[in-house]
Amino acid sequence: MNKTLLVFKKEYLTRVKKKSFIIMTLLVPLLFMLLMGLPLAMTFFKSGTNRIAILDESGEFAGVFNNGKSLEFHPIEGNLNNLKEELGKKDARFDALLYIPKFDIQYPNGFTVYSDKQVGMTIQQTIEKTLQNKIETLRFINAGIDKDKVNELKVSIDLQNIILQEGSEKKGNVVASIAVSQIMGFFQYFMIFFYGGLIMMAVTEEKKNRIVEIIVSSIPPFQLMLGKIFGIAAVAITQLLIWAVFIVLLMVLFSVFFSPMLLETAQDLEQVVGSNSQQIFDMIGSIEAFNIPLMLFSFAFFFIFGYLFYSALFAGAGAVTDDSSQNQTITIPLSIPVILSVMIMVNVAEQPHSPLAFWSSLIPFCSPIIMMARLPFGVPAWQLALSMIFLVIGFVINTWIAGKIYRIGILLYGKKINWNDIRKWVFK
Amino acid sequence: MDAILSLEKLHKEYEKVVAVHSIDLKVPCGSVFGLLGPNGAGKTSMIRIITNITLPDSGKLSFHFQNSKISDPMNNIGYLPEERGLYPEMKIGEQLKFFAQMKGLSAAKAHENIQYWLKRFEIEDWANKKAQELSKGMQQLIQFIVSVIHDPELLIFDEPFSGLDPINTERLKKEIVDLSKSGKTIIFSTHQMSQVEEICNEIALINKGRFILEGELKEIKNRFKKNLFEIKYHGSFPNNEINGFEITIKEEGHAIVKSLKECSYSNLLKTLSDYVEIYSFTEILPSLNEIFIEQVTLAKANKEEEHE
Repeated sequence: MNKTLLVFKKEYLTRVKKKSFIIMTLLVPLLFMLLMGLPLAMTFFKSGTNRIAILDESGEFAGVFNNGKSLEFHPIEGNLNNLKEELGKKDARFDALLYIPKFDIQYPNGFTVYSDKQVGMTIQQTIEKTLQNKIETLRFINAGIDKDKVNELKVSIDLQNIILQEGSEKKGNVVASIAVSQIMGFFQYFMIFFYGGLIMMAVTEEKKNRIVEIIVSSIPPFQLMLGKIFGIAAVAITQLLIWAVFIVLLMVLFSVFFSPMLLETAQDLEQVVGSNSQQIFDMIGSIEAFNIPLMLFSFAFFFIFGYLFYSALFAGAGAVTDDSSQNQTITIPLSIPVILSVMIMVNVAEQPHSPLAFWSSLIPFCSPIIMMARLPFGVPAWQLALSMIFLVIGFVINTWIAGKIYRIGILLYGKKINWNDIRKWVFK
Repeated sequence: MDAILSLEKLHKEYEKVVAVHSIDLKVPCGSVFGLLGPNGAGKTSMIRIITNITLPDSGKLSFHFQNSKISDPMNNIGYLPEERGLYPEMKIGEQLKFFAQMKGLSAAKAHENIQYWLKRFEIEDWANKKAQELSKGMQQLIQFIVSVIHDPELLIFDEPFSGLDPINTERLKKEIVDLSKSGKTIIFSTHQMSQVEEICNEIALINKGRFILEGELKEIKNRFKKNLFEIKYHGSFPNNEINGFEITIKEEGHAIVKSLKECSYSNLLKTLSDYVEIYSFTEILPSLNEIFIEQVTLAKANKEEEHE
């Protein structure tokens, strides 16, 4: 056991000290920060106020355009062609020119914004919305309908989903559930492939460099394999913890320094898009309604055992791989269940409680990904427990099988290994 | 002399080949034991069983070490495999420490031994180099150090000189001789007979998983001697056969004498001195190479006979 610990230590330390590990560990939180900060930065560095001149030949739009935080509207008189020439000049009185021609109320067209650069979304949408509003009002008047009355009669339904569980009520939100489900599922998928690949490379490297014969004369192959698997698992967990700490830290910083700005942006957004912000707040609220401790625990559990389950197989695969022959293909069947899981995962978001979702969240080959994807939608405790038990049993069986393959495979060179050979090694 | 290693009816089969065919063997303590045989004879299979890398199908393997404090026999064996390597991205110092600890050494003892060996080879400044920065020959020196770093009683070298330049070969040969002098037992596997003659005092010849010859090197050479002598002389022989001695003249004053029957040196000298004046006299013993080829061919012929 002492020697397993030595292998564990060596695998762990050499990897954690590697430049690539440090870079990746730091890069991911940075990317995360960038992803969160970019929209904010964009509003922060927004270029002042846009002045928009309105040349209104229809005469219908006096006082209709209201100045916003970043938009100023000025009615202007003059000849369109002369005004157009003013655009882009240093001493121009405006950044863009909105031209409203005389129009037919039945077929309104010909509205144009002239600018020397592409106008932004905000300008485009604000102007479109204002124009539409005004023309609608005009049409209502023409038809003899009171617009205020119509607005009064309008209705907007917001369907709430209350989940009844163990006597308590929780507000559900399908969008939030889907988002959390897919993010967790994909993360599992990524980690299994990344770290599974790492263990395979570690095994193949030892085989390729012919170190393995010296090592197995000091330590039984099975112990060597365990040392490797757990050593690399520890690397994965270290990385995950660093990310978690970074991300929590960033979120705290974020909410302290940037949330006032965030609120402003939300209000800006509201001005443009309409009153969607309530939905956004609802969504954020419903994330808090998830059973977060359970989710975190399950995530950690499925992450660790999902990795262990697959890493045993990847270690076995690494042992039969040797780049001189075509043994590489032997690893393909390993990636099939992982890829299949991702395909099922997308389906799970639509039907989280279908038989497909149920069964695939129990089978250890898919459960690390599928169960994580199902969890935000609520999974009965017995299913979660069963899935966990199966995964642990699967890990033990896999390690036993991989140990047999590993023991023989690592010392074989230049021989083409087929499935029949592997079957013999395992069941001999 | 006590045997440090004994094999009893050791047997190992792979799918279609019998790699080790019910072998009995005793390796005397303190000997330099040459394990000889053509490629694919079963040398490496046998060594892998001794080093606990593979398990035998049947048979017994026992060690008798002086130092009974080391409980795991694996920690008292040093092994330099034929196929060998190092971790390319690990520093030499760290690597040696890892391997030493894998053989049960404490961190402090590992450090002490590493210093000793690096100093002995005058390569202290390599400790902080990565293996991939070293040439192949340099790496082989490190691999040699890996096999002796834990000061084991039994050393197994599988083709230790393959790929080494003459200078490093000599250096390593000297180390092996020194290790032997300090009381280590060395099993030395090779198909390079000349090296065996220089270093070994016991040999076993293995072919197709069986021993076809084993024993003390001197004794074996005597067993296969063909009563040939080389003489240098003044004068001339009257004819090519004198009293049971066949004389083949190589050049003026230089001849090979074959004794047709067993006879003592003095008898030979006395007989020949009647005709010429002898000033140099050497017995020609067969080279191991000759014995090896002869025996392997013989075994092959016997087998074919069996088949017929």
